[in-house]
Amino acid sequence: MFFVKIYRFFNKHKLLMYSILLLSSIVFVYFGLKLQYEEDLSNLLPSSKSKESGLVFGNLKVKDKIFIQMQGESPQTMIQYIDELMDSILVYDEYIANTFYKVDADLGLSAIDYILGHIPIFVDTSLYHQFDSAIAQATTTMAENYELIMNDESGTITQMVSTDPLNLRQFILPQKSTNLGYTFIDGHIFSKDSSVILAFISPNFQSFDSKSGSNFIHDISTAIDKFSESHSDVEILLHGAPVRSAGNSDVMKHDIFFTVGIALLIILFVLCISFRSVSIISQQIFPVVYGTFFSLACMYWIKGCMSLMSLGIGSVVLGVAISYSLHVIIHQKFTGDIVQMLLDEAKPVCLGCITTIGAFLGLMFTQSELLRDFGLFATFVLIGNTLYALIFLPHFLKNKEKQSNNKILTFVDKINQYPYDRKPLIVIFVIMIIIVGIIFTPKVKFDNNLKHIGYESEKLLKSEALYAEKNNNGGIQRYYAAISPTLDEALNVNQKLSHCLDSLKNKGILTSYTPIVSQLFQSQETQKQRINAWKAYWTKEKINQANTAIHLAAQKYNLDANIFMPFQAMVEMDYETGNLYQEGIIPDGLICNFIENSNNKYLIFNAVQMKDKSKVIVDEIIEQLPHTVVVDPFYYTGNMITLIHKDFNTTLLISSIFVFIVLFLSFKNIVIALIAFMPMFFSWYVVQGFMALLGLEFNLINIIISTFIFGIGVDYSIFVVQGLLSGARGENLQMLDYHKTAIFFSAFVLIVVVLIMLVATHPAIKSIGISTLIGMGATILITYSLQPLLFRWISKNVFFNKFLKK
Amino acid sequence: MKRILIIIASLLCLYSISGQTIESTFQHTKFIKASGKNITSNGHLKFVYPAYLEMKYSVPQGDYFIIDGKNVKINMNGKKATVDTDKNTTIRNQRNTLINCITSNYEQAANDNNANISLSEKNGNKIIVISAKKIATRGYSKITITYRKADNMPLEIILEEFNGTINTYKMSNIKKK
Repeated sequence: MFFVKIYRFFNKHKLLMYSILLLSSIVFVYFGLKLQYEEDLSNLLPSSKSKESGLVFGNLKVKDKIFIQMQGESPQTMIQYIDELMDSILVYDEYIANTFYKVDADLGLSAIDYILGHIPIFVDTSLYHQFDSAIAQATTTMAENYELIMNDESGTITQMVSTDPLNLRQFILPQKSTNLGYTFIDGHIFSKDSSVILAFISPNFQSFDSKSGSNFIHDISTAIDKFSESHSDVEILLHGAPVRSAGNSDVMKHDIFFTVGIALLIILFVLCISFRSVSIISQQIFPVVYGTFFSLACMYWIKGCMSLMSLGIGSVVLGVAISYSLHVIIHQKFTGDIVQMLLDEAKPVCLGCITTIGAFLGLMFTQSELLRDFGLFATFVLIGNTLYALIFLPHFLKNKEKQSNNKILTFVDKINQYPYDRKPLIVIFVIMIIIVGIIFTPKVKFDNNLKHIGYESEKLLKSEALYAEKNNNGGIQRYYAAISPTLDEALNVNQKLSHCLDSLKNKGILTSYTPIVSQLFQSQETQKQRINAWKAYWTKEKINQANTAIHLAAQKYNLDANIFMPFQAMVEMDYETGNLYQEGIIPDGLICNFIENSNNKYLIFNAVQMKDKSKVIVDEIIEQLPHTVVVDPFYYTGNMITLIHKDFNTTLLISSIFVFIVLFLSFKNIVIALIAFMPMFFSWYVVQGFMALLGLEFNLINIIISTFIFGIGVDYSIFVVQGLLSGARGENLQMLDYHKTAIFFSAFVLIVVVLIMLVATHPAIKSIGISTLIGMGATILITYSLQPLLFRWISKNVFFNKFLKK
Repeated sequence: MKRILIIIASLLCLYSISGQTIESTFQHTKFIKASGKNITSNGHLKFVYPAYLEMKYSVPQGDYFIIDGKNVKINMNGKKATVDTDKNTTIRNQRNTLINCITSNYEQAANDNNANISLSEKNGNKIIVISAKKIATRGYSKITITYRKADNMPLEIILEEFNGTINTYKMSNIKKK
């Protein structure tokens, strides 16, 4: 009666109704359009188990960098080309935090200068015994020095030799650690075999700023395309997290537009033909659009942003939303009386809405941002759509206009009136499907790897494969980080991490690891220890011993021993600790691979190479170390998704209990509540069982479909039960037919949406299709056959009959 | 007393050069004691007070050494670099020494190199010798600057490193603007 009263009130005050509708529409559209979208899959997952691993999901340059690879014949040509290409990319400086594609000569000069001023801190205390050998071998070394000095045309090498005649530098920085695993030609970075030149770009936008991400990747791609047109002798490839994210976003947007657009066109065309009315288009579209913008505005007010993927999956909800207005429109077409239509439809539509919301609200109990966004978005779409369908839509329907049957509706009637519940073969078939579903349910698998539901273009995969082949020995490169609030603490933690990685390398688990960071950066405490060790080693006696050895060796090669005065200064000098990280000597584009400050915490990165199969073992070992993280969001999301899956059974149970309570309170009879509950209950087992039988796996996205199947299953069964009750009570014998016609068109709408999803490009959207199709089919079969059959059996019961007549 | 005289002389020289632009040709000789090699080069020098020094080599053609504020641009021996002297002690020391020598701020040059100063006159020119008190890994063991007494224009700067390498810059055709 509530909605009838509202209808009558607004019928007398049409201007007020239109004003409220217009004003609310403007408000919802305005705020709905202000909603921001999150497109990075990894950011949509549960906040990780510890605050430290949470940093991995944030903005880290080492994780978010863009890799540009150029493959060509001549290194010199590639050097010229990469400079040219980077010049055209560097104009987009508003998106760039730093780049690393060439090492300026001043880096070498400043690095040598810094090392010279802080030599003791680069000498591990375990190396001093090798200094003794160096002193003992002064004559041999002097022979090499002589060659170096005599061949020196500029005096630079002489300067180095005069400071270090004993070649102590060999112990300070192993040569291989200084090349970072790349080949440097004229200061440019090449793969080990010099066939690929590399450039790295660290974006300066936040990882959730999808707009900037997409714009920048588009700008880079345009620059590359333009460059490639005039330089066909090289191939340029691009990969990295922002590239993956932008590709994902573009395909997702295209798929959403494509699936929703095409589905709407087909649905509206069929509805127009079926009901021979063009106005049905506006009557169908407006509730959905109103509900969608109502939801987007609510999401903006509550959260400010939501995941684009939730919106993509949300297109399925539009199918449910359409079904409510369909029920209202179709019922009106058959009764020709708006008040009667509201009296008949308000309760099942509201009940369907509440139970469906209940099913979606179960998602709010998960820890996943994606699922919560989807649950909230779907809930608001349904609320907005239902309110429109029951408050505003009736005013756009024509009173006293009954639908005359045409060929299509006659055909639909024939399908609906077929006595599925009285055909033993169909009933047995449905029961068999349910039994098979229940048997195979335990065998259904869950894929927890988010990468499998993200879109990867062929070019992106080619670029990643080329980088792995040229730089990672065909294996993978992985970063592990030590984390602490202060740089000193982080460096101390990193010492332990470094030892652990070293031992893994010695065991052959890692194919490559050079502790560059622990060689370059030391905590103040370690630096003091090393300076003390230097002082302790270079006693007067030791200095005399070294000087004597150098003098004798110099004499042997006719060199003036006085040229080695800087050596004496070096060993006698008083040293102080330094802070290489803050000196600004190492360019930002390079240092971000070693150290980064994020959220007031210092992360010290260690790059290692390994075979893909070793990843799981190494990750587990490193994760056990205190204050140490795996710098790969997918490592944590994998665990989290497994947790979500485990949580999901609890979520479904909560939803089921909620739905069942609503059904029981509404129908006030436990048997009817059970009959209404049955389709959603069994269809879930059928979906799981047949997914297992077909060898399909659930993932984070299509598991959401289970809630959708819950929602739609409940809706259909509520309408069928309402029709059955109305018929059994002798109130309206045609009610069931009206509802079945609406269910038919609702199912048609959803099947169209789902089928179009099957041809989508994005794996996440595509994966929704098949599981929904199975669920939809099972729901309709159970609703049309088992539900009426059980209702008929129970109607024969005396006590139940008494309840019906109440 | 000697120290006070040096400071006064230094200040007078500094006053005389401030606000001026100096241009000259120069000859640069590098003697590598270790190998006995002599490398001779020459070019054009331009100094704009207070801290712009441009030494463009005509031999070898294209090489340059330019001090522009705190940055030093180098193109020598086939290597190009722009060095921020805040990040490089050696180049900073080299930059400061050259600027201080040209601007007659030898007191500062001596301080930077932890050195003693001695003043003398020869052939009507003023000669400043800055000698390091202690050996060091970087810097100069001895700096000898010959100034034209009339106007304190540097005629010759000799920079001796601790390994015996000596860089001699001889200026000629000096013009003041």
